[in-house]
Amino acid sequence: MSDIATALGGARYEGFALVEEAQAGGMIALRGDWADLGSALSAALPLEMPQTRHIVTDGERSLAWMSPDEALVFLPVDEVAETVRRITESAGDAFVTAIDVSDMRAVFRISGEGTGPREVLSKLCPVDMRSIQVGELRRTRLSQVPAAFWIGSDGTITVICFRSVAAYAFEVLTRAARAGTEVGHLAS
Amino acid sequence: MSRRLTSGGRYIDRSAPQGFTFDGTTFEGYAGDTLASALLGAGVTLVGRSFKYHRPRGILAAGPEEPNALVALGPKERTEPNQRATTTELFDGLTARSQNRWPSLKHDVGALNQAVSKFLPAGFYYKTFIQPRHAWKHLFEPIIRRSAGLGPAPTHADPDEYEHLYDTADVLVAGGGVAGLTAALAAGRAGKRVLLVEQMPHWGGRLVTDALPDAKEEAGETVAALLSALEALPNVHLRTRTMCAGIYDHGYVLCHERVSDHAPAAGIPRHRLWKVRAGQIVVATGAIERPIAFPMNDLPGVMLAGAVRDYVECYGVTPGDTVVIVTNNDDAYRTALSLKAAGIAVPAVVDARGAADGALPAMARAAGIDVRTGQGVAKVLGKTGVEGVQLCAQGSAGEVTDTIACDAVAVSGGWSPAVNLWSHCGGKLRWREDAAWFEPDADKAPTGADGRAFVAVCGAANGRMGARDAATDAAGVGAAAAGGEVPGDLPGVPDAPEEAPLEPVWLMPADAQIEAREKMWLDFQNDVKVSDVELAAREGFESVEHTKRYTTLGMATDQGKTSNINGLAILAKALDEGVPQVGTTTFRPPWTPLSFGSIVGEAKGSAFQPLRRTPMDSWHEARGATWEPVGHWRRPYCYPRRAESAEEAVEREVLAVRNHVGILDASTLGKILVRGPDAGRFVDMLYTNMMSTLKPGRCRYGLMCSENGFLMDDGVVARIDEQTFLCHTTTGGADRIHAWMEDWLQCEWWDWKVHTVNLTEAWGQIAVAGPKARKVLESLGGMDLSAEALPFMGWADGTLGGFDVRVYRISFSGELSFEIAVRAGQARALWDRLVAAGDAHGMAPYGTEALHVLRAEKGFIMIGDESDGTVIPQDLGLDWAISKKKDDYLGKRAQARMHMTDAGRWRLVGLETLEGEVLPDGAYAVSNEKDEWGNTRTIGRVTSSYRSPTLNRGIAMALVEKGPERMGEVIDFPIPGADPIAARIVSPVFYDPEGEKQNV
Amino acid sequence: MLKLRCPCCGLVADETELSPGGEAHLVRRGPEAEDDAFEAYLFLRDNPKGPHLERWRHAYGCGKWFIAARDTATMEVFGTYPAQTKGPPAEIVDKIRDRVPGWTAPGEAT
Repeated sequence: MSDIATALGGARYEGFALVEEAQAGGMIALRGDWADLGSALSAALPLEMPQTRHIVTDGERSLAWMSPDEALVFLPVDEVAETVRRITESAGDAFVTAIDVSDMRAVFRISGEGTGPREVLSKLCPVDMRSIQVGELRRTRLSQVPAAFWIGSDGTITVICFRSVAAYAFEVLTRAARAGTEVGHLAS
Repeated sequence: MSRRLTSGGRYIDRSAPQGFTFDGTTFEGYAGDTLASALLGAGVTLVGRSFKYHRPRGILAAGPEEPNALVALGPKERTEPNQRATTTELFDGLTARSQNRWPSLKHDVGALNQAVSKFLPAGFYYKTFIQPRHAWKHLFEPIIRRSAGLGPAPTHADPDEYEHLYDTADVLVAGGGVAGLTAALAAGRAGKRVLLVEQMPHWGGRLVTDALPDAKEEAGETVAALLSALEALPNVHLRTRTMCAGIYDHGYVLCHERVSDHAPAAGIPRHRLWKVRAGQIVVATGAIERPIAFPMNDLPGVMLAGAVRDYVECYGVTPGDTVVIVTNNDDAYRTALSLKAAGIAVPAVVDARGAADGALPAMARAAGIDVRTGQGVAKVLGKTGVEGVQLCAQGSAGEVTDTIACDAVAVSGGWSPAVNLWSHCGGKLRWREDAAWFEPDADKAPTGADGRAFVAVCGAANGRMGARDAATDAAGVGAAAAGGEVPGDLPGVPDAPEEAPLEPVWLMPADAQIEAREKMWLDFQNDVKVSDVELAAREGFESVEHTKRYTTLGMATDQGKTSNINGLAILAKALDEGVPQVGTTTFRPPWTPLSFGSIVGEAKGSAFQPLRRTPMDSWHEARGATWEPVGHWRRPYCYPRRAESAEEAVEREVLAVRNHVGILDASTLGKILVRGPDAGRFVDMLYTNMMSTLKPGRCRYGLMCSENGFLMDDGVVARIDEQTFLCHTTTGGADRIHAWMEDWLQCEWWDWKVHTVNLTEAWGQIAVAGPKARKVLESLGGMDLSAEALPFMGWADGTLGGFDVRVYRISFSGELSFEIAVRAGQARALWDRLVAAGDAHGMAPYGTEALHVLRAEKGFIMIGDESDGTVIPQDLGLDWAISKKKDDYLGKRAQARMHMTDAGRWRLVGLETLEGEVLPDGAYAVSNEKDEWGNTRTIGRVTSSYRSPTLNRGIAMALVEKGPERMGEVIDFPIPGADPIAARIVSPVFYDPEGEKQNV
Repeated sequence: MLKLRCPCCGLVADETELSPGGEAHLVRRGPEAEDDAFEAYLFLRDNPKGPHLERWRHAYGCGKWFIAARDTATMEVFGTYPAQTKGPPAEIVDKIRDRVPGWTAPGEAT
């Protein structure tokens, strides 16, 4: 069996912020009533259920709210199959769908000084980047493609989008991050 | 001759000369100059030609309201036409060219239009060029197009960068004059997040320029104090060179920042478009001075009085050595004082009012300036520049009473609040009779999502013309916008003398005769004169909106900033109505033009649209694929080998599949998981056929229709288990169909237990098709792919060459075919393995065109070819895929409508050309019979047409009236410029009608 | 350029994050429908200058459909509510009636 390739093979660009394609890792899409998801996950994953529009992280595992009846699990890729099995099993009769979507998305990390990482996204997303809190998950539009992002406690922003548009997303992110184009508006 | 003063000019840095060229001649200005001030400083007063008559035009204003001084900037390959010299900041190396003249600005052939101006009145297009009809297209329009218009469009793609920026503000303040600064400070002190934007590079607006000499220092301190107070607030963001372009619903504001126009640099965006969501918007955009309509008021050298003192005080230049002031108000006396202080001769202030006894006229008289009340201008003398003015009594018909030699005229017809932004989102105006202007009606403000006002106006834009009054107004408005109190410690604004009221003067002299009115310009850019508006009124254009369009008043790139009120007043007079009864035109965004580049932002070049790439994309690229865009995807069209044409490549690829084996990247196909206890019921509603009876492990082809009954998508459905279906969609259809499913599940059948997950991008998918397909796959080792283990229309999970795969036995080519799904992150690796394994079997990669030919040979329909949004499955002979047993499915009721069951519908057939030629795609078939009007009747249309390499002839599919009933009939397809092509109606299945080859 | 609060996830979304879906609360007519009723379902739409109940999907967000009560002339938004309902909630009707006395939702008996 071959390794799992990311869309861009770990592309990287350094402007006033650093934009890097990350290893996608494992992802599991979940659908079901929120309460059903909570009970199914409680036995399968050592994470609290996130609040609406939030993500909870513990080490290598995260659990993201995606919609009122949809969650996304991030975990090491070799845990995916077993976790899907455990979720399905613990769901029992509850109507819960769990499916491996590890290869469906591209993941980018944006890091840098001050408001730099937020500013990169403020050029591309119709979002008030000042108001985004650590742990908040925002699904939105990244220029012309759907994307979601959240800000970690170290200020690094993680952006996910669909795999097929990874090159497009990387291009607009790097254009927005070009050195010399800082605006500084988020500092006020 | 330089008009640069020896001292003064607080915006310029005389130690930093900047070279620039205008029409190829090199000049020098200073850092801080605008192109307009630099041109004036260099003695250039003729800067352009007007739109219609090609009249010589000079600089009228000093800001964005400028109608005349439009130039093309930049070298030819990156030219930007119609830029205002008055808002263009000078930099070393700037190149500018005048516009709308040929062969040169001084000697312009188009100026002959003036000689025939009597024959070019308002609406002349409509009147002159009606007959003969054909002459419009071939004679008049080309000539008019060449002679009209302003600067030439650029000939090269824009090489510059632009970007967007999304921001939010509790309070956005537009305008950085004393009102805007004060409003922002009041709002900022209330703790709200404030964004203050100013279109020009400087703060303070007119405050310092308009202060009297002994108050200038104090005025400068006021601006500095306001700025430093604002800069100290962390919740306030200040931005110069940023123009508030438009205000839209729900507090959406567009601001256009000129990031590097004044200092071009590689890698830095030229413009940045701010897309701001503001809670409250404070408009502090000041006021615009109006010219006065007097004969020959368009000569270069006639300039707005406020602009004259801008040039003197801010840039240290003067429009002339001897300047006559023409006014109907006290404010213009400031210009007289400015000029006098700078040592410029001011022979007279010509004041149309009967008396001028205010403080400012008194100061002018004290400075030794001759004030002539009750007087007007009978005519400005000169050809390409002002040489003098003839005076007359304002109340007369223009009998000349005196002549004064001068080389510039400073004119003021009063000021109009700049209410544009207030109006953009529905704010209404009221007419102030005493001041003769429209100002915002605060009771009729633009309202937002909560039904409450979200725009407020302050300062001069709100009709508060005095600086102190404006600042007081702004403090209240700014504080209110932030829901706070007016701060007690706002910097003081110097006092200014009381001004006497103006006297509206719309025509000078008041009884000017028609010959004089034909020389009075209202709209300088579009050459609209007093006589044109009067003509429009006489011809029945009573609505200002109609008059505007008929005369083109206010429709130029300046949008009538200096002409609307004057034009409106002339129209009102001609109609014997009051100005408010005639109404005002609605101001729409943008306030001043913004660049197309900024609107486009990052969406250009390779980021114009998202390009979707499959995991195998780089392989296709390395293999020299030509591309076909499908939705946002790019798919290989074919893989030409060296020296091979695309047609040859497609033929080779088709034959490879038919005779050996081919490999296709099918990753773009939509893959939507539909799962749940009600999944069977749901797919039965989505598809026209019975899907719920499909057995796990099996696949079935299905059709989806809209509620109109029209075919919208098709694809193979695989039943995964009792509760789970995997629905394949067309390449372009995945997102649309997924949204369609969710729409029905969320909004109609929300009690059905069904989940959908769009898995399109989770898997790569590879089709291996052809007689040797099984051999290729088996050579990788792994799962049993025998006909017994995996029969046609079955699927199975397993491994191939160590990869976890799901293999579908489905065929879109009519050959033995496997579609292999593999996780996207391994799709390229599996592809490489298959390609290597295929070598021994003569395998070729094939693209979408070979795919199309293969499917057409088999008579398989293609969504978007055989369907076009008006075709129902029954038209395509797909009745076998429409369940008769189901009570309901989406589109069923519509397919029973009268027109859908009409026996005369066009239906799918195959076509064989009699000579084997290839029919043009989209060709129409005609009937030999004529219809009731004697016209040839169209009876069909080619939907797909290819040269079939397999059959070595042209084949086509077509929709033909009652087609299936006409098997064997020969019909004609007329070809423009050639003989019709005759084709015989046959079955659309040209190859292997029994389906034996795919089922082995 | 509207801003609408998605009632499903609570986010105030920009119009460019949403996709419109036309008039809300249409009642689907199936195979048994008479021609007139089916035509009305398929083609006939209100186009009021004033309050309008309209479908929106939070397409770039949580993906859920919802319904907005909006004045098409003033752009006032009276409220948004989830799509799983046959008509507007009472508090939204009250808010609309504050502006337009006597307003009734389409299809509602007067």
